[in-house]
Amino acid sequence: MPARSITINGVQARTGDHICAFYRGREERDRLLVPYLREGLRHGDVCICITGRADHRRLERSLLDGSDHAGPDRLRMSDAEDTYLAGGAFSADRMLSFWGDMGRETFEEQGHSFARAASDMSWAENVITGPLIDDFMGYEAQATRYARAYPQVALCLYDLDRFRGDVIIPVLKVHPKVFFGGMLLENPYFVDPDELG
Amino acid sequence: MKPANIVRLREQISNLHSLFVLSMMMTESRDEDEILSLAVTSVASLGPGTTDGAYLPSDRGFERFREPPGRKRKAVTAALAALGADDGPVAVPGAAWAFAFALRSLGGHWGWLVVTAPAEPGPDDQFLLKVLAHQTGSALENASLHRRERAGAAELAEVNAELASVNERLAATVADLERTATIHEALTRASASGAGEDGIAATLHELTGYPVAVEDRFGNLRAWAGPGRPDPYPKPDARRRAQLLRQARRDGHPLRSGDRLVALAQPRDEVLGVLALVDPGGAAGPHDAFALEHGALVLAAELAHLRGLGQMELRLRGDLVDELCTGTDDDSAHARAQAIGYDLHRPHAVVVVRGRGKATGEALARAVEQAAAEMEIGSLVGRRQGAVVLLATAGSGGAEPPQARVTARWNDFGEALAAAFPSGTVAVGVGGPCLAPSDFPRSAREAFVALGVRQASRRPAGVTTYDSLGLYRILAGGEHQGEVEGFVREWLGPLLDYDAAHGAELVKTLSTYLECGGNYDETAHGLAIHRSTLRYRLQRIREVSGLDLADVDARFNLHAATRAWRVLGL
Repeated sequence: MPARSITINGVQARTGDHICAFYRGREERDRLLVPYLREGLRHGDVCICITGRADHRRLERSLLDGSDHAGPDRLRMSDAEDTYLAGGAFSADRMLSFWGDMGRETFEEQGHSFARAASDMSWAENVITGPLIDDFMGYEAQATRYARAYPQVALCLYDLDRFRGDVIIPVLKVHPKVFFGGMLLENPYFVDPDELG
Repeated sequence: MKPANIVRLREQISNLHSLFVLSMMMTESRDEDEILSLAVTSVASLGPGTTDGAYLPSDRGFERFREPPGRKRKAVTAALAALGADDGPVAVPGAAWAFAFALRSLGGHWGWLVVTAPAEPGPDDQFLLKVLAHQTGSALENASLHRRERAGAAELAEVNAELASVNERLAATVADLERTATIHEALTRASASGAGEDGIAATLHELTGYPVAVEDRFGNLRAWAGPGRPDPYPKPDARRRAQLLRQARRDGHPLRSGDRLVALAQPRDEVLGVLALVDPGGAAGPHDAFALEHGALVLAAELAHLRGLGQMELRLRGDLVDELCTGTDDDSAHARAQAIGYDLHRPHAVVVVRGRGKATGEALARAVEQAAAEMEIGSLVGRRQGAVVLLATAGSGGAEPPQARVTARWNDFGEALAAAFPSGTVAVGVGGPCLAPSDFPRSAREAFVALGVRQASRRPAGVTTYDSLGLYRILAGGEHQGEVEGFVREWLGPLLDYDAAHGAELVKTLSTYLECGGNYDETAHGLAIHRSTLRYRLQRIREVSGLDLADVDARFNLHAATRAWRVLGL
């Protein structure tokens, strides 16, 4: 699989990266999200964006403004109710199946060469608590494996105004890379699903 | 190394990496509550422990971060007090192991993170908690510094804003002062230049751009500057004018009256004039009002000065009149007259005026001045013996005018005075001609004789010239004064003595009776007494004098004596 260089807020990332990014508030999130996906659309990448439905129209306007490469099959907007919470509650297996289907359809059936995924995890506030935290972190660890399976980059966005240490510390442990304060930090000791078997 | 140890080590390093990023988040935060919240909620993710809370020093000892109401941990806080600023074990009810990790930084001690566990955690787990506490302390210090910096910046911004405001006010004040200084200088220059009221009006017009009027207190125009001068100048209603002056005096500052902004020229209590800006649009601002007010002050000084000069000239004229009537040498009299711009070389006559009712005092003097000015017969006016004295010019100094024209002239003068006092009585006496200053005392004496005759006559209002006195000129003659007095004494002596002894008016009664030709009604009216009183007095006169008033000789001599008594003022 050829390596592909992409940028998040001007910082280089690599094909197969599964990155957690921390922000405060919607404006800061959009400063990360919009250039990242707009760059992808400009390069002809498939861009998968999962945010609250209320943000879709505004984000689409920002992402498609001035771009003549984007088509309906390139920019795919979804919300948590159709993905993470489909069926009424979070299920790690169902979500991993979602990503697996998405990969096969995008790359194997449609023949796209690169994809960028961005998921705003704000839906998890007050949902992923207590015992569910371990399940959720198991899902995130498996998501790293999925990210590496195709020519793509996966970006998980966490709002620091919504999450406390009980979520942040586990999230940091399971992501191979962390974007915070304008820096992309590697975590060589992240919980690797391949090593754990 | 055994695989289990490798996994354990890897997990420890992963935890440290997470702590490193968490520390970045806490350091980046400026909110002390958020820092403590991150620390407290991270404990359970870093090992087997759970947090009991963060304890922070306060005025009342220690406060537990986000302590639910009603819960107090006296045992914990007592143990923390004993720790000083160090780490150490504490007792938490229900916990097998409890430990307080000090939240320390280079700048001080911020409190403790108290962690509990079912059993004492291993050294690796305790190390992570120690790092978490240390990073939390550093982040708290950082936030505190930022808070102080923000407070300092806010204070500085406030001080700067206040300074800017003060500067703005100062600049406005300086601009005001410069403007007022310009106004002050311009008006002072106008006053000092001697340009008078015209100069003051012109300067005020130049300063404000509005037409300017200077009026006397009655509303008559004295000066105007700028366009739109009304012609004829309107005369204000006297009652409204008086109201305006009263209000302006009460307010003490410029006030609006119709299309004008007016200020009083009022040195002390007397209004000498009014200064007005003609401003139909009501657009005059504070600087215009200031210029008007200052202009009114300068105008007041100017008008007071003019009035002072006028009063001084009046005094000088009055003094000259007095000295001429008393007697002075010709050279001195001419020199003094020349000093006040008066030509004493022309022929004159002394005119004396007395009045009753409103025709007295200053009012009478002003009426004499005005009548003399209108008839162009002189301007030297003074006071003597309760009368206003006018040194009137009596012709051009050439040929003597006919007597008829002289008489008509004095009658015109008398009528002018009578017209000035419709309800009063004005008597005028005119002395003989003066060709030199040394003639004035005689003319003055003659004028008073004529005045006395006029006042003693049946028609005391009017003019009597000495030249027209005829017989009475003899009675008033200076060289026969002793004989005349003897004659008066011979015929009126007992009556004069009676009057002096009893405070009576028998001589006056007799004089009036004879002047009225023996008519009872006219005499009683002239004396303002009842007819029966008159009859009683005449009976007393007959008894005291021993004379028969019906006797022709006695009646003639008594009439002559009473005339002399009146004329000579005996």
